[in-house]
Amino acid sequence: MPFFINRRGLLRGVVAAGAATTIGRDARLAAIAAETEMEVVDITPDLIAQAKQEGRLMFRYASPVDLMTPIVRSFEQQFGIRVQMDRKAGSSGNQQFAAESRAGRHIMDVSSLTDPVGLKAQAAEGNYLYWTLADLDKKLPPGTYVRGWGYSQQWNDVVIPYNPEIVPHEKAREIFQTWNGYLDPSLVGRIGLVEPAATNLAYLTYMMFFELPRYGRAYFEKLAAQRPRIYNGSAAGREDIAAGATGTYIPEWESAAMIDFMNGGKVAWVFPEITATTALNHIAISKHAPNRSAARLFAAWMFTADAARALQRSQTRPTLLGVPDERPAIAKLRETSWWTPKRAEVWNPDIDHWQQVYPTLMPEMRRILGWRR
Amino acid sequence: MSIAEAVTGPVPTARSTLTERIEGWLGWLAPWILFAVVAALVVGPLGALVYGALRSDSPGAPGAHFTFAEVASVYQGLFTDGWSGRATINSLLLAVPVTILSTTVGVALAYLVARTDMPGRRTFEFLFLLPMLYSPLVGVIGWSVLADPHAGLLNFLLEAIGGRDARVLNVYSWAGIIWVMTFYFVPYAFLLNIGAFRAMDPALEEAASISGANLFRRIVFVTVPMMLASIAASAIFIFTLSLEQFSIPGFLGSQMRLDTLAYSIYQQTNMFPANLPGAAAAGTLLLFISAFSLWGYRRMTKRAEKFVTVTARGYKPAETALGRLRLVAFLFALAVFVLGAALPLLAVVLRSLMPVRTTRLNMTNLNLDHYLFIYNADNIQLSLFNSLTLAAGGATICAAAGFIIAVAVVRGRKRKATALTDYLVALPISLPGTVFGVGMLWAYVYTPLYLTVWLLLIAFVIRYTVYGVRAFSAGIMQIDRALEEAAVVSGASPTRSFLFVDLPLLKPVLVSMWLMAFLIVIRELSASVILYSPESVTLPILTWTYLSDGFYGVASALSVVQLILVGLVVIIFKALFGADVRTRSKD
Repeated sequence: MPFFINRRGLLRGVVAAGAATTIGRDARLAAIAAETEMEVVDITPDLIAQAKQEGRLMFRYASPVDLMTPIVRSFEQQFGIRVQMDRKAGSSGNQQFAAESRAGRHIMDVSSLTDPVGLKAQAAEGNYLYWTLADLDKKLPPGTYVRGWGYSQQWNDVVIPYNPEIVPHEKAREIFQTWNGYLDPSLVGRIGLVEPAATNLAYLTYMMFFELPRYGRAYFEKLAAQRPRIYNGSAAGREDIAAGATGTYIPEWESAAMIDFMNGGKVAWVFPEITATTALNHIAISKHAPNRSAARLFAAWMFTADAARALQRSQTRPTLLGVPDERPAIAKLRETSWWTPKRAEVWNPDIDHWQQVYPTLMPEMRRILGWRR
Repeated sequence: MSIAEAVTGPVPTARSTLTERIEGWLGWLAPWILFAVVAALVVGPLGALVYGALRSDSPGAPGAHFTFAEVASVYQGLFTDGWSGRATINSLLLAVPVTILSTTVGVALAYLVARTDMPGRRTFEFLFLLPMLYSPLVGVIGWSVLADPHAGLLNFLLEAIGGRDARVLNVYSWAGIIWVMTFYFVPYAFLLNIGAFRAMDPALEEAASISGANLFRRIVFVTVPMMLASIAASAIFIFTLSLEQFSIPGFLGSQMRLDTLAYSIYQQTNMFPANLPGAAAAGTLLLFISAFSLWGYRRMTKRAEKFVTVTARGYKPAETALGRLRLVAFLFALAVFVLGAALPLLAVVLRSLMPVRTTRLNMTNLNLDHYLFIYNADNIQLSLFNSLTLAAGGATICAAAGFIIAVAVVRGRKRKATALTDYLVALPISLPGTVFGVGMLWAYVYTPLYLTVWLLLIAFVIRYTVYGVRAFSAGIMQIDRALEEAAVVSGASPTRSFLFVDLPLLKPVLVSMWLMAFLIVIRELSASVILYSPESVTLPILTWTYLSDGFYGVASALSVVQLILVGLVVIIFKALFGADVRTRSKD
C-alpha cells in the first residue's frame, strides 16, 4: 500500500511536534533557571563608568525606526555611548541572532524583536542572558515580560480605526461598542484585515476572537463573509483607510493611529468592549554581549522615566508603572468630539498557548478567509 | 555552415581563436577550474539551503536532525492538493502569460528602437528603462493609487466620464497582477534584446526584402528566427524571475487570497515561529523548475551556428523604413511608456508630495515635507554610497564573469564542465531572494565577510552573473567564428583578435548587459534585507523600511530621489558609451 502523508495526518504531526518543542524548550528554560542565578541589572555608577569605557553597543530591534530612534538618541545624549541600530522586522531578527550565536559570532548586545516565541527559543539555547530588573514588580505590571529573559517597555492597544467619511463618528460609536460592529451590512467590502501569517498582532487579535466564547470561530466566519480586503502588512491597511478605499481595518494599534492623526490623517478610532493588549517588544540582553556593561546599562535605562518620556513623544504608551500619560496626541485628542480614553477590558495572550495552536489555527484562519489550500 | 565558410571553404579552427588559446594555456583543466570557481561561490548558499531543507530545524540548532518531512510535504503537496500544489499552479498561471506578454512587448520595442526609423527612438530607449530605476513595490504603490476599485484616481476619472458603473479598473485581480508584472518585466526583455538587435547583420533581411517579402514576413521568417537565442534567453529569464517574484503578487494577490510559491516561501521565513527548513524545501522546488526551463533553453540553442547573424561579410546595419507604420509604432511605444512607466511614476511622485493619503486629491495640500525628511534622515548618504558602489562593482564583475563563462559555454569544447557551469550559474536566480539570503546567511556567518558590504557584493555576483552569461552567450552565438579565424590567419594574435574583432562586436551587448545588471543590483532588496548591517544599508532597504513602517510618502519620495540619481548615472553612462553603440546603426 503506498504511503501518503494526508493533510489531517500532517497537521496532527505538526501539532504534536509543536507541543513537544514547547515542552522541551520550557524544560531547558527551567533547567537554566535552576542552574543559574538570575542577574539583577540596575543602573549603578560602576556600570555607567564601565559602559562608557566600552563606548558603544549594537541594538537589534523590530519597532518602527521613527519610534525607536528618538529613544536611542536620548540614551546616547545622556551617556555618550554610541548605539548602532539594526532594524530587523518580523521574526528575522531572532533568526539572524540564532545563526550568529550557533556560529559563535557574538555581534548583537541588546534586542527588542517583537518575537516572544523566538526569544524563548534562543533563551533555551542559552543565547540570552538570564536577568531581571531591580524592583521589577514596582516597575512593570504582569503580562509585560517573560520573567528572566525579556521585558517590554511599551503597550500595544488594539483599537478599531475608521475613516469618518466612510463611517461617521456617531455610527462608529454605536456599532463599534463591540467587535460585532464589523458585521454591519454597510461594511460589506469596506473592511480590511491583515493576513494572519503577516504579523503577530494580526494573528493574536484573531486568536482573541477564536478564544472568547462570545465571539468564537463563528464570528470569524461571519467576518470573512463581509468580503474583507486582505493585506500582507498593517501599513497598507492604514493607507487604505486614509484613502477611503476601506472604512476600517483590523488590527490597528493606538499609537500608530495617533501618529496618523497627528500627521493630519483622516482617521479616528474607538475601543470596543474588549481589546487585545500586548507587550511583546521584549528587551533582551545577549548572554555573550560584546559590550557587556553598555548592554546592561541600555537595557536597564529602557525602564526609566527618561526612556518612558522619550517613548511617549512617539505616542507610545510605556509599560513603566507610575508614569502619567503625557503623550502629545492626548492633548490634541481631547479637543475632538469623538475621542474617548481607553475603557476596554484587556485580553492579553499567553505566549506558550500561542505557539502550541499556531500550526493549526493560523492555516485555519487563512482557510476561513478564503485561501484554498 | 557560416557565410565565411561558404565563401572560403572550411577554415582550420584548432588553436586559432582566443578561447582555444586560453584552453591551450591552461590545458584541459580550464573548464574545470572555471567550474570549481563557480561551484565554490554557488554551492555554499545552495548547499546550505539543501542541507537546511533536510533538517528538522535550522542548521546548527540543538536537537535538529535529518528528516525528509519538509521535503515530502512540499513535493507530495504537488499531487495531493497540498499548499505547494495550489501555490505552484498559481505561480505558473502568472508566470506564463507574464513571460509571453512582456517578452513580446519588450522584443517589439527593442526592434523598433534598434532597427527602425521610429520617431523618438533615442528618447524612448531611456524612457523604457524608467521602471527599472525604482523598486517593484513602488510600482505597486503607484498602481494601487491609480487603480484601486474604491479609491483609484483612474477610477475616479472614469466615474466622472461615465458614471459609477465606469469604475472598472481593479488592480487587485488576476488581470491587475499580470498587468503590473508585465510592465515590470518589459524593460528586462527590452534590454536583453536590444544589444543583439544592434549587433545583427541585416543581410538576410535585405535579401528577403529584395525577394519581395513585406515587413511582417521579414520579421516573422527572418528576424525572429535569427534572434531566437536572444529572445529565448530573455523569455527564460523572465519566466524564472516571474516565479521568484513575491512582492507584486504578494501585495496585490493577498486581496484575492492568491498564494504563489514565492510568496508562500517568504511567508514561511517570516512567520512566528518561522519555518526555515520548510522555506528551504520549497526553494528546491523552484530550483527544479528553473533547471528544467534552462534545459529547454540549452536544447533550443544547442546548435549555436543557427544564430550567427554577425558574419565576415562587411555590413552596414540599415534602419528599416516603417513608412506609414511609423506613427503606429510611435503610438505603440508611447502607450507602453505611459502605461508602464509614466502613470505609476506620476502617482508615486504625487504620493511623495501628499502629507497624508486622502479620499480626494487636494492640490493645495501638496508639499515637500517628505523630501525634507529624507534630507535630514540618518543613513541616507551611506545608503546612497553603498547602493551606487555595489551596483557599479556588481555589474562590472557580473559582466567580466559572465563573459568568461559565456565564451567557455558557447565556444569552448563541449565538455561536461561547461554544461555543469552553465546550469550552476543559473540556479541562484531561480530562488526567491529571501531564501537565497537565508542560504547566504547560513553559509557565510562563519566568515569575516559576514555583515560587511562585501557579502552583499558576493551575493549579487552569485545571483546575477547569469545575466552576463545569457547576454554574452546570445551575443557570441551571433558572431561568426570566421571573423576571429580571419584575423588570426591575417597574423593577428588571439589577444588582438579578441580586442579588435570580438570586443567591438560585443560592445552593444556589453553596454546593455552592464546597464541591466547595474539597475537590477541598485534596487535589490529581498536578499540584502537578510544580509545587511547598519554599515551596509542600501537605498532599497531604507525605502522598504519606510514602507513597512507605513511612511508611504517618505518611501515614495525616496524612490523619486533614487530614480533621479540613478537616471543621471544612466544618462552619463549612455553619453560615454551609447554613442559608440549607436554608431553601428547610424553609419
